[in-house]
Amino acid sequence: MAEHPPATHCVSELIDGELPRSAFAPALRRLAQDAQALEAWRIYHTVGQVLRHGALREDPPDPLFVAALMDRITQEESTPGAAEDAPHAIKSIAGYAVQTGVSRVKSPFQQSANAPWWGWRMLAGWAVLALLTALAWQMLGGEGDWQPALAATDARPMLRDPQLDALLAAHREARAARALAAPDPGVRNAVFEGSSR
Amino acid sequence: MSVWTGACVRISLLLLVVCAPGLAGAEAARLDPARELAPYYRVLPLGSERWAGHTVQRLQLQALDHWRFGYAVWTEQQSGVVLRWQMRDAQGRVLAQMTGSEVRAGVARVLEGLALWPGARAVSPGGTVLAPVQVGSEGWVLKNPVPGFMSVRCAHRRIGTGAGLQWVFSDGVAMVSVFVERFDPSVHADASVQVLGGTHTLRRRKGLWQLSAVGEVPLHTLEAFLQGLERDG
Repeated sequence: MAEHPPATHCVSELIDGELPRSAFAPALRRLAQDAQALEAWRIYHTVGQVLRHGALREDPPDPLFVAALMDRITQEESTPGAAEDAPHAIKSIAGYAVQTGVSRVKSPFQQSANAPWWGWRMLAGWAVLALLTALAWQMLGGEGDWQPALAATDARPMLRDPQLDALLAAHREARAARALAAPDPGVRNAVFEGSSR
Repeated sequence: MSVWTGACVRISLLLLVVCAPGLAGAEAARLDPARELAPYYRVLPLGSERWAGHTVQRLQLQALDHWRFGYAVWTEQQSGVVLRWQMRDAQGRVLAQMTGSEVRAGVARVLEGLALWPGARAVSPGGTVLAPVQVGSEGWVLKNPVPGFMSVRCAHRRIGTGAGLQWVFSDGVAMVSVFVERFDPSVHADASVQVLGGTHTLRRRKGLWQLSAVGEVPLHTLEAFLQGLERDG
């Protein structure tokens, strides 16, 4: 006999939008019937609210939004395959939304940059980390050519060809000698090797 | 203003030297269209922007014929140092590029930067034995020159385990090396083509000789060099 996943698991996937389409109706049904699942729903939203805003928001819901939502729910035709219990579950969820002010649907990105919201700092931190990682990758592992933006030429690995290596080295040396034909004698004949061969 | 006397060099400039030495000269000339670039490249200023904390001027070196590639160049506004460049083909695809972020003062920084660059090594002056020769004295002549490319130098040198002639041409930005060696079946193939980013290599046997051309130019430009190279007399 197949075991049902824990209620919290289904609710988590439902909130994250990761629930498969086929599992959507059963999840709503379970949410409507299972007090534990509904409690998990509330807890997850509370956690999410705290994470997004740094604290529980007690602002009253926007009555216009709530009225429009409830009207829409009432008028919504149940789609084939959706559980008959779905409207009830949705109403439960909507009711909770009304209670907790989720209906404000204010995006965290609408916050001003200097708002005392630590999520901004977290986002900025991730952005800086990503930038540093990219730069480190290019400095430590990359070669002279930056591959991501290069036009695709020949992706096949090249076999070692000593004669080709010698020609390329001689050519590079000629380029360096010309470029460094400069007043400073210390670097005049420097040769720099940075290519992949 | 010369970049060397201007004392503005850094790691990224080394890459410029490696990948597009002609641009270093162009940089010194501040990409003056009236100078060597003018006949074969159109220099289009595309305004200023910010790059890696610097105000940079963006320029486009548009190739005016099919014998060479174009470039996009970002130069630091005050010093003229090239912070970034891209080599692009006729379709605008990026074939090779260099990007730098630091501008430091002092030539000593060049050598410091060398130590930081993976695989970099500096060869002391005289480390490579070159024996300059007069063009034509070796019995070879370029009967059909490629437009814009002038002879820079010609010298005997070691090439791998053998030796041969290296004849270098440049149009002020791109550079082409033409090599002439005695054909050795244990070393040379009759013909081959290699592409490494923007650097193309074309090798071909011509009688008793192995001719090779290497450069940051389209393949047909190398083909023209080898086609135009003939034994004199």
